[in-house]
Amino acid sequence: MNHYLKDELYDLVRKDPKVFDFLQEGTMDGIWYLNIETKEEWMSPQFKELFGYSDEEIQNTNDWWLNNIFPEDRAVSLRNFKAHCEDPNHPYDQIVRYRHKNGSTVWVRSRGIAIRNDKGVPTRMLGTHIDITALKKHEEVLNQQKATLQASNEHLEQFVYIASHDLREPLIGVVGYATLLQRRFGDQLNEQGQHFLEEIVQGCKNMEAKIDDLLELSRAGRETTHRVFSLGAAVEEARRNVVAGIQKTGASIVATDLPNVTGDRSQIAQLLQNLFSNSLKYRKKDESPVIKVTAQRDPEDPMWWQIRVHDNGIGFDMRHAKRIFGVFQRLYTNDQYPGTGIGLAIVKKILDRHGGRIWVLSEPKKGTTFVFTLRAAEAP
Amino acid sequence: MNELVILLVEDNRRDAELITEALKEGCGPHRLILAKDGDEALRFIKNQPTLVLLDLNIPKVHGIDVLKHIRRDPSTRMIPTIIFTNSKSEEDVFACYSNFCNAYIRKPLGFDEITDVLQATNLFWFQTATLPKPPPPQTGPTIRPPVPES
Repeated sequence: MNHYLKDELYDLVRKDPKVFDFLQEGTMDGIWYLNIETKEEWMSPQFKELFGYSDEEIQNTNDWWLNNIFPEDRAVSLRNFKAHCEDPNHPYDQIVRYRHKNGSTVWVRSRGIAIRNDKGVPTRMLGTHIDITALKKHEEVLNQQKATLQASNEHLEQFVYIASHDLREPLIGVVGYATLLQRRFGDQLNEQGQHFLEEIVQGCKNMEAKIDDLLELSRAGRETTHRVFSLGAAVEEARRNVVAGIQKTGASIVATDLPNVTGDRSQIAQLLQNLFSNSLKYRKKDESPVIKVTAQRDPEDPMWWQIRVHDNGIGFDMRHAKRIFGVFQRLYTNDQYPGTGIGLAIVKKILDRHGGRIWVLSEPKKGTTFVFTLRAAEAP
Repeated sequence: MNELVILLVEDNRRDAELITEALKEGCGPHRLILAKDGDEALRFIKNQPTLVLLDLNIPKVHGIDVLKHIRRDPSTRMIPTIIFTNSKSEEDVFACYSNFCNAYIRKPLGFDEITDVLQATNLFWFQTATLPKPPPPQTGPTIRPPVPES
């Protein structure tokens, strides 16, 4: 769009070299201008300064950059140069590394445009340098931190795994002796004594269930493979795994128009199975569970699907919506609804491993809808 | 019928007592040998027990190495060897079957449950399956007959 100030500015640049210098200093870390025929090259003082040299120290030929750029980056630059000369639409734009006078590495985004003569033959090349060394250093630090974090996560998971095994071991003795006592000396105990023993055994069995769930959580999402698969097939697999519960409750699972998605099929099947189990468990007493699975493109990012698992169960107060994905977090006592509170934590972990999100919509007595996102197999 | 000799490799005193009692209830007449670590297990295995119940996490020689040893030695490799342990790690299960254990059983919670598992093991290996006659035990290095000089 033309603007009188723009015209004025262009005019200024033409007339007064100071304006151009000012612009250059403020926006870039170097300019180069190459005579393609003679290989003479003018490099701005900032260009040279960026690599630790004064204006006089570098001759204005293109030998300097050829000798000081990293060889593999030189190859990329020359390839792009050739392609850009042949086709103006091919950008001359790459991130390259130079050797600084003090031996350190300077990261530069180097862009250029060929100036062509009447016949369209390139005769000059105008280029800019932007110093991105600081950015690269940050990136490196971030990558290192990410790797450290990942290693410590894996370490922690391994610890949980080993600790879970060790924690179960004493239970074999406690339950073993309690039940042996019951068997051999039970007739010497009155009803209350029997009850006490029974509570010891039940307490330990609860603990065993929690330990085994911790084991499962520490293993969930390990070795995630990303392949295209049919979400419908994963739903079918999950359905088969809860078939006993379906028969017991007279439930139906309705899945319509499910797309292909990308991820680890067996993990997603486990995720769905956990959600189905939840719906079957928290069903209304007087109504058969109906679970609906639907999918739509994520309105925020069409490369993702939003999958909804909706049920007609007892629902819950949205005040608890955040808590339910926590480890061992439960909304009911074990007597009301048995369970350890690990199922949704596993669901969350699987989605974390897939880069997906999950949230929940619910209302007491109205039912619950879990919504989660998975990467699409193809663009819309 | 020959006497049933069970080698129990178990370092945990309580587990060993529970298993001993459960065997008494569930496995009829038998002789029980208890090995408290891998070294003892390797020593007793030479006596060719009829069944080995092997814990994995034991001192000195790890259970998996005891298993490997049993399978390497021609005089013991046919002895039914049941891994009876607390771990349910996939790696352990895989390693044990890869080294030809006969079954991998996780120790259950509860005396009756332990008895049931051992009774089922006994029933399968000694009243259902047919086992080969044990080869003669290897008592020492094989002595070559002297070659007459010609």
